Amino acid sequence: MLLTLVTFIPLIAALVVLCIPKEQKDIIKWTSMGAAVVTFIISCQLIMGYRSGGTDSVAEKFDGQIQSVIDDNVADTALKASFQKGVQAIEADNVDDAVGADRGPVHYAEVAGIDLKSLDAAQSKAWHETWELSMAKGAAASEHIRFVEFGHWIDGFNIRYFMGGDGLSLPLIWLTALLSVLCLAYSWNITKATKAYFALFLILETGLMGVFLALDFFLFYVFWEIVLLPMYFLIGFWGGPRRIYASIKFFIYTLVGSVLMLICMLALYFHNGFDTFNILTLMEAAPGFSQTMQMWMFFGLFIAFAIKVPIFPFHTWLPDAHVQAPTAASVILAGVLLKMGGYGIFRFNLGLCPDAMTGAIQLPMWLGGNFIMFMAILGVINIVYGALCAMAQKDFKSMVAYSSISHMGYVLLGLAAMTDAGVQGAVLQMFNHGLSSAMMFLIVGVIYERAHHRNLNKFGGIGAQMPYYTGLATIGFFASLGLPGLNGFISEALVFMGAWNSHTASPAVGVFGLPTWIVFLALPGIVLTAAYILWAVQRVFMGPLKSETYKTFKDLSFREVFVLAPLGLLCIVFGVWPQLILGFMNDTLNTLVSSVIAVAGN
Amino acid sequence: MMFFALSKQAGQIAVTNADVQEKFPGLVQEITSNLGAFLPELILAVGVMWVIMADLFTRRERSRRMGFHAFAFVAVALVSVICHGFSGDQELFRGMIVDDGFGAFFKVLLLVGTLICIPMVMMTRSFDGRRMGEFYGLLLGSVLGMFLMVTAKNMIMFFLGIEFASYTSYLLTGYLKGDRRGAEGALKYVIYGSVASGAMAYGLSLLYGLTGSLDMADVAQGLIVSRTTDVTVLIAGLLCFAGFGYKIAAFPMHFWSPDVYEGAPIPFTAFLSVISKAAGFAVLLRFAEGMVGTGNWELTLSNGDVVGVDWPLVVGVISALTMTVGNFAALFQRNLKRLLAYSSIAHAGYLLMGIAALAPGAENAIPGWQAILFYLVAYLFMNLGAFLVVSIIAEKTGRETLDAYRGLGSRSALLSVALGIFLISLIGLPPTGGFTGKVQLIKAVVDDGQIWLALVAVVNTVVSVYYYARIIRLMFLEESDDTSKVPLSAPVSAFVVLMIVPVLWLGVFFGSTVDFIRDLTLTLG
Repeated sequence: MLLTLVTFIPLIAALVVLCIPKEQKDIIKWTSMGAAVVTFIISCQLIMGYRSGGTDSVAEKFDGQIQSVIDDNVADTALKASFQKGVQAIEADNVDDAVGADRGPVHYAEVAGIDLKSLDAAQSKAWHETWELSMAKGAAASEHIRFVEFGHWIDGFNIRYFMGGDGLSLPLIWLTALLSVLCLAYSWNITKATKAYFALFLILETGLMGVFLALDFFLFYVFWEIVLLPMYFLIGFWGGPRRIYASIKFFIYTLVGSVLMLICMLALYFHNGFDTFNILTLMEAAPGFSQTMQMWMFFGLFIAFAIKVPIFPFHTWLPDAHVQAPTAASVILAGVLLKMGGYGIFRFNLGLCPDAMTGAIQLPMWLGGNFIMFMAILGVINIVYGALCAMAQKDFKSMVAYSSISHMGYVLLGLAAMTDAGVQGAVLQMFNHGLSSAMMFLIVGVIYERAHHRNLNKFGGIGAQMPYYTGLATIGFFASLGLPGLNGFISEALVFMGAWNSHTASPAVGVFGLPTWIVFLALPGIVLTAAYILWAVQRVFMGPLKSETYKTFKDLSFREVFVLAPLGLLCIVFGVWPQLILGFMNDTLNTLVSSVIAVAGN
Repeated sequence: MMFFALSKQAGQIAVTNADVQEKFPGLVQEITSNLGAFLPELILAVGVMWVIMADLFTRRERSRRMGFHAFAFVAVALVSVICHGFSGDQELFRGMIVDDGFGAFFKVLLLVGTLICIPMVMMTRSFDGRRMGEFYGLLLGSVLGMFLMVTAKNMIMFFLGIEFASYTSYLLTGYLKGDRRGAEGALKYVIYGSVASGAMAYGLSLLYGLTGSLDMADVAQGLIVSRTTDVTVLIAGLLCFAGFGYKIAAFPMHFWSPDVYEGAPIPFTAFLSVISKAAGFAVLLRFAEGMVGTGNWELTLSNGDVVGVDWPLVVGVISALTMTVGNFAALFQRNLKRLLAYSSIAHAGYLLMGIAALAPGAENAIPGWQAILFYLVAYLFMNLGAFLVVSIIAEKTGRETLDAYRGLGSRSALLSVALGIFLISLIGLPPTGGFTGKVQLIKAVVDDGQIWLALVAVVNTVVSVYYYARIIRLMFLEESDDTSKVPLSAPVSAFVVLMIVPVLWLGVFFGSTVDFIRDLTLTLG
């Protein structure tokens, strides 16, 4: 129930907002804010509940559901026994992760001695659901998925309303809820079409929550697309001068990715007569997929998510979208939307293409030889190329935008390492980048509201004029730079540790290990990051005041402090005590990695 | 066969009742008993005569009231179709037409569409001061012709149905006498239509020559038995397809549609783009399901050779070309009616994917025709909805070009949001019926193993975003000098909202519709 609430409260609030007369701006704002705060509180509850959620046994929930499906549809005791036998067979195979095994419903029907042709319509539906749930149960238990909600949505196509949270998704849920509250607060002074703005923002929040929580591919796809439209309008209506170009570019780029995902989704649905969109079921069956199948799935899904991350060479929409978007939309875009791509790669590419993630699938040399190298090289390009581009920017916001590209490269590199440290670092990097990039965009927004330009070369001496701003801004900048003591450092260090260790640790378990030279290629990224960030700090805050008008600048208002201070604080907290969030993700991530390793072992 | 026997008789002498009784015992009783299932058609036929006659006794300025009469007849016909039910499974009039769920489904679709079009006609001011009885008479006549199309089992019957529907359409296209574009469109329509039906008649005659029958089921059987050469079958099939392709505006028979759509009065453009197209798909589906789906036209000879035409590939290529041509041409249109004309060509292309995937694939898969039926339902509401908004705007501003939509978001929230939803549905984004429909079509071709066609379709979807989103952009993101509000009366607002509901409903709760379509009966004999 909590997951449904956290997803749909914003949507309901959006509908309420739409019914409020547009002159009542305060009511609109407070309604939206109230909904966002409630969502945030629930997301906190989810986080707390997840850590201490030992009693919430997912396996029992699944067992209960399977039992009721069988009881409701099968009256014959002999058939019931066969169903139970099938369930046991599936559960036994769930442990094995056998490569190339047929895990389809037809196969298990044979194993259990069920004659599918003799079943009536309800019974064969029931068998399919029994199979689906028994398979999903395996993945749900090992990945520590909790708060599972399972309902029927479109029975004709076995589309379920299936939601669940794990160590991968719940931190992102919390981040989304937090940033939504802060963004709404920051948007308090929006005067152009306030009602539409707040309604769209809330719809956006629903879409984001749904993307991270959906465990049914179809449901995931629907939420994925729901995110698209509000963002298109937020950029297109409230954005900067070239907003129309930027918004349509964003729309079309993202849509190219999502239609590719659609094809992959349908190909998976029809694979081997599975007829299911259940992500956990598919994950459990994934070791049985052929290598060709996995290769094409990997390409299709990877491009779909790479566009969102964005990964070179699909990144060109991002600077345009960011520079033109209003500040709050930039914050959500960098803080959460980019993570949809990263999340997708972890959930789908890692989960559905284990052979690709062990490096067992051969690729042509110009693509790196295998998927691990392929991702690592793209990651390194992102890190270095993004940093170089950031350094070349005169526009403050576009510098921050390119820094996002650079930072997301670490996510890819960490994943490619396929070591515990690397993968944890990668996910932590997503979370940390959500905090630090959000902060950076807010910092840009604050100064832009005062100066009405973003030219780095024209700033100067702001430090003396706006000390509080400078103080908070410095935290954000240094967190992004990766200064020890702040959150960015931990995740980048973990990624490098993982990548460095990869060539010794990974081959030992049968996974392709990254060569050390990859790490050396990526290292200049750190220096370049330091360079562009320090240079920007110097140009904006240090030196004499470049213009008389800057003297009139007031320091942060209460609203701006309210938005920036929590982010700054969190950057410090997670920098000093990363275990807070790492401990949370460990279980899930370690199983993700070890399930791939298990495939390599077989 | 019976048909020819009968017509020979009719040709020789005037047939008396007694003669018929003698030659065909029980024929009269059979026909009389079949009339019950034929009730909706009879209601429409009475309606055609009624509106024309009643109009003669009505003053010219009150002539638009004939719309209410036509509406009432269509509504009664709809009730009679629904009361008759969707589980019929019998041949009527000795195999001329059939009474089955598939046909009933299309009848409902056509009637609902007509029910939406009639108020649009009544809202159109360019009809003011004209006698409308003829218009509605022709409109109902057109629907009657389509009824025969969607239920025909005999090739002569569906040919006649197509002709009936076409002739009335020609007249309706040029109904506004003195309108140059309308006249041009109507003329183009006639010329293309004659060529297409000529080609089709030739194709049908080839099939008759090959198999000696005009009954679809017999022809399918005959083709399998006679093992005719591929080339003749291919030619016959392509010639028939020319006729269908013209009805549904598929490449390369689509050239008439932009001009006709632009020239015709907007409500009739809407009628053509949805209802006429749906009827075309019905007859094509029945034909193709009979020929390709069951017979497969492909058989393995005793020496292991496979002969036959690869129909899924042929239709797949036509489908890919149709959607590509439609979408790319739509990119450059400034007139919204013309833009929607090209977009509806593209949608015919998407729908043809379902025909390409007719050959049954994996177990439990939805065959392509179910996907087509679902998509047609969604398409009915989204496209008619879009035309409804276009017609309202054209009435209020007198313009059909894209400029009229600049800044509409601040001028009329309801119209712009509604058009936005219809366009999003036409793009195929969730949570709308356009999305769920397109997923089912793509699913059908993926299931059939034609991944290339699915890829073409999704690339086309991305292309189509550009021109659909341009309208959305104009409405919401750009500002216009004209900031006056667009006044809407309460019934019109309610009408617009009524069109939005099914589009969203089909996007979220489409399960019941899918199940309904799955349970329809399809009689092929």
